[in-house]
Amino acid sequence: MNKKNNKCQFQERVIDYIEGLLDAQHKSIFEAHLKECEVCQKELSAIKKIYAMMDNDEVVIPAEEVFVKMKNRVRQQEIVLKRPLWKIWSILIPALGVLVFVLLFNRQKEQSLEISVPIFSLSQDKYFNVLLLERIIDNNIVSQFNILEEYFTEDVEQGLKDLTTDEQQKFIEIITEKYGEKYL
Amino acid sequence: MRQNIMNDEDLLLVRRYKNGDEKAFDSLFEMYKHPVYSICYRYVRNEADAQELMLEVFTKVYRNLRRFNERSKFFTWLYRITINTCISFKRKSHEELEIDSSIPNPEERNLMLKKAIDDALAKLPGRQKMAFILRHYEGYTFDEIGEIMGISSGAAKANHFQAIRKLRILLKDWI
Repeated sequence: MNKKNNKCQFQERVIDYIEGLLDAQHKSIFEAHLKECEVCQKELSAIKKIYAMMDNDEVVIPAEEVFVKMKNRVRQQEIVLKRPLWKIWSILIPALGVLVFVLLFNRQKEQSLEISVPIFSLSQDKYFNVLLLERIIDNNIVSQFNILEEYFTEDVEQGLKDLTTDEQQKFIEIITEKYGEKYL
Repeated sequence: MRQNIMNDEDLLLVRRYKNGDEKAFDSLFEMYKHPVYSICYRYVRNEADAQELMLEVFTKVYRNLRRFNERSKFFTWLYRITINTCISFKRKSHEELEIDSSIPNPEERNLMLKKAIDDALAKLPGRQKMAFILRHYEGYTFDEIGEIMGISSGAAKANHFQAIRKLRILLKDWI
């Protein structure tokens, strides 16, 4: 019935039949067809064998300790994922604190050198030598000072007045560049 | 009925975990470790890959459980993670089981059959294979399979039927 080249129009219904997807009416119609159709009988037999083969294909569940280890690894992996954030912040915050402190400290140190050594005092040799000996100023400043020295007399104010306008301007530029405007 | 009880229990555990109860995750793991492992094993057909997959699945669950919005059932969410993890899994090379087909004693025959099933399942497209696993081994309805796989019930059924059709052809020598 309905056979053509070993095919049957109801062949596709075999899986529905095995899976219990046919309603009562269609099931009885199909069962009646099945009694007469060799193609569907073969198909039913073949698919039932496939199902049986697959049923025998069992999963061997691993030992309990495998699952225990796995559960621990799940948490460890999560900790590994979380840890860098904590680590980064726990390291970064103190590191930033130290960096800020060092920068501020160094900045204050530089400022204190400039504040404690006014140019007027440097014009007096005795102060200058003391500062040099105590390493408050270094040779670089000494060489800079030598450049400036020619502009100084015992009386700085008088010395400045003796300078020409160009010399005064140059002097102001050198002092400004090296020590800032506040000492002028 | 059992599924409803399971859903209620799942939901309670999920909420307990969200409220900081770490042991609730342990309970969920205990409840679903075997089904998840079975799905993974049936998909990849070897223990090492199945364990690796399961670890990946539960790591994803552990990481995202607090964000689980409870719009779907927990097991649907869990199985969807499992399926997506399985389908996107790149199989590592494993030593192929060498079988001498000239010695057809029962033990060898079983090994040959197992290899034939392995080979046949390996040739199925991921979604067809997963639909077959969920229907045949886990016993879910096509509606549930559709929900888990994020496809329609009809598509789930079509995937399952295609899987059987292909298995029928691939395993014809064993029928």
